[in-house]
Amino acid sequence: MTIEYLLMCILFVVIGTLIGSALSMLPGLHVYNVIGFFLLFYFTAGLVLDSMQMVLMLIGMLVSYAFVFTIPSIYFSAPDDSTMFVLMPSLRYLKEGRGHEAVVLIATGALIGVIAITIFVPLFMGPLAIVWSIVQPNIHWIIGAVIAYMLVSEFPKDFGRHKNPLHGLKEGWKTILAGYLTFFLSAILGIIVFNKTIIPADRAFQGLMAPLIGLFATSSIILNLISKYEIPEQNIPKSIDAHPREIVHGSVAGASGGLFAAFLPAVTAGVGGYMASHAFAQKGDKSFLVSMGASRVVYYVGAISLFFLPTLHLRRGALAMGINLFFTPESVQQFYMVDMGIAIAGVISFFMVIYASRFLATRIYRINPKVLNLTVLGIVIALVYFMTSWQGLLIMSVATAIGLIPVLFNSRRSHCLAVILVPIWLNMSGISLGSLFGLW
Amino acid sequence: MKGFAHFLAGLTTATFVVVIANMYYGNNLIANAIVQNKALIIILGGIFGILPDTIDFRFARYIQRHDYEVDMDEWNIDPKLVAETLAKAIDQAASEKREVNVMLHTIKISSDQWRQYSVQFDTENKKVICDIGPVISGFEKRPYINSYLPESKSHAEASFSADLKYDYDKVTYVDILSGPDFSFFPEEDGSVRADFIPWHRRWAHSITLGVMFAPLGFAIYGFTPLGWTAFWIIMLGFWSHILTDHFGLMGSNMFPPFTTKRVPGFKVTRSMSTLANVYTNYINVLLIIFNMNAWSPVKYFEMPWTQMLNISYSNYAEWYTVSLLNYIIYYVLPPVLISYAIVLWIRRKMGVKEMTDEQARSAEQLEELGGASV
Repeated sequence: MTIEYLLMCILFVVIGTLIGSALSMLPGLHVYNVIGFFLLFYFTAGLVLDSMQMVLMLIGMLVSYAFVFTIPSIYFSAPDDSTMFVLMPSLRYLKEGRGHEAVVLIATGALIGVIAITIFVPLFMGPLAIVWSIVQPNIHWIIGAVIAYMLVSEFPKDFGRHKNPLHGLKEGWKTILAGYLTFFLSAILGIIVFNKTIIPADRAFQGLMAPLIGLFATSSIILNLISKYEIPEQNIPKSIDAHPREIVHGSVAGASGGLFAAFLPAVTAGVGGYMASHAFAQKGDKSFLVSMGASRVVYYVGAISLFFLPTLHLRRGALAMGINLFFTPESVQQFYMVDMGIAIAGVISFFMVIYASRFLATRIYRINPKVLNLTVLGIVIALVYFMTSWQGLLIMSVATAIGLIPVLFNSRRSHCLAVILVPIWLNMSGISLGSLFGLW
Repeated sequence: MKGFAHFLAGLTTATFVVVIANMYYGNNLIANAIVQNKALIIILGGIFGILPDTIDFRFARYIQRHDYEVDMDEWNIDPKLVAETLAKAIDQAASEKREVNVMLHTIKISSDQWRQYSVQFDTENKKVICDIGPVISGFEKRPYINSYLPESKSHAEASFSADLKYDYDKVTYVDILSGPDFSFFPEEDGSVRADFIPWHRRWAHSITLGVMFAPLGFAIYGFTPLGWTAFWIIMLGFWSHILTDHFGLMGSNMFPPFTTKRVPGFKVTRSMSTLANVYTNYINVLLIIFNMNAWSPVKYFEMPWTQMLNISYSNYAEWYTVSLLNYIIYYVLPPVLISYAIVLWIRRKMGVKEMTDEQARSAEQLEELGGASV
């Protein structure tokens, strides 16, 4: 490998990071939606573009997405499946003029996540391969256990005021039953979308976009539209004033959750991070925000790292599958190139997200929240229409209605993730429910 | 322990039951049902592992009756009401020789703002002291500096005459989510014993209930080898919850209806301690991986002691026991011991004070509730 080639590779990482950062600012747009178009471009220009450089550019895009999507999640309240958990604390931070602080905490966790991936994944190549071999035949019950935990671990949120036991049960179970209803409806939506979506065949690779945007983004935007709140002038503090223990605790928890999610099919960063926050007995918003940043990055980036890991080559996530269409990882050298790309993209993305947040923090309070939310809603609807046609809008509307249930009843929004978890789990367990819903 | 630790402990227990059932039935019968026929029997361990808390927090807390409820709002704050109600309940328990329960509700201001207040039992001077604190922000519990009330409006005391046995930390803060309930029990010597959240860790955290749930295994799988395995998974998974909780201070009421009081825990740790939860989960994950490898037809790792002692796989029970011992000593214990030593060193260097027994007991009970702290 020549120095020129290496410099070209670094250049492609930087290009990918810059493109990814710009695209990730758009609320509702997932990097996986765009990568499909880049792959189409590559297949036509493949003769002149080196495959490794293309891989590094895509990795740059993914890493920057994992970092920069924090911005629309916090400032525009348009989360995806993995940032929905930070919505409550970050909206609170935003209302208190501390939106930038929330972004810095999440970005800090994300940067530590990148460091963890680039250092620890190569160190634990052997054990990871062994663990995967052992886990593989047992995945059906492990994902089943994740689902069971999600369902049995939600406790009532009724604050203990009730006239009699029956009234108490009714009040307490309201949130739990709303959660179960959300889970059930999301699962049915997922089974339909996975088995026979109504989206036109030429856009079928965008099949999950509409349900995910409906469940997480549009439902949050609608909630913001109906609730009255002001965005005050945001403070740009010199320090995030977090105790090192909170940073370490959050990072370790988040990285573990992210790795768990990257390792298992169907489990996404949100679920991984939320399970890790329970496993590590997390307390406090700061530690939680750090953990969510770490979890998200380790999930997205870790998945690609595991794909290139010489002892494993585990194909997780749309990017690994997309890359696998034109590239088969073979050597240790390629793995270290990818590791380098992840590290460079991580550092650039960290500064991108901080500067973007500073830029927005000093301006966002001037915009009327209603106008902001309506604009974001318009962008999201336009994106869904552009990517998935009117059929996608239909699916998005159904998903939005489902996504509003936990928001209105104060139950866990994580139940919406049944849209991915249940169909994949059924598939892994050899259970076919498609015929129940007229899908054959 | 946190729900997740209980769930994982239940799953771990289930994997051990599967290993033993395999030994009993032979031909890797149960493991094949899981790996090849995709049976989900192990999940039962997790579900029944978390069930005691599910019963308490989803049902038992609503059955609990309170003799008094103190429910203030931001515009009607009265520390005297809190102090006098608690003092009255203590004396009532002594005079009427019955359990008296008091519920202290939190003061919610908005979706993430609460007014904090504290209660203190001064057993020497026989006084209950209530202090109204600041408005705090959500889970961070950050006080709003200008929200403190003047002392004339924020402090009150009330006297009681009974002898009070109070083994918890002096000050209890009532702040977010759901408030704590206090129970006052008359003791045989005429004194009154105070306790927190009386509905928790009683009948639902018992050996008895585990035995009663176990036959559900037959309801799911019939009287088959899988049915018997499910029987043991449910019972032992349920008991794993009680065992892990017992490493804390509060303990559980083991054999209701034959016993009525909680048996105190082993006092090894506090059930909500981060370290305790992390170590429990770490050990559980490693044991699950070991057991999955043990029942897999292909062994992805072999422990060196079995080769050193020349124990072959055909002698499965011996092979498994030696391998497990070797695995624990090589992989499970060293990271726990080393990291714990580092944590202790850091804590000493930073001058972190250990909690007293009373503080730890209060913390354990109230942290589980989430609505109060010490």
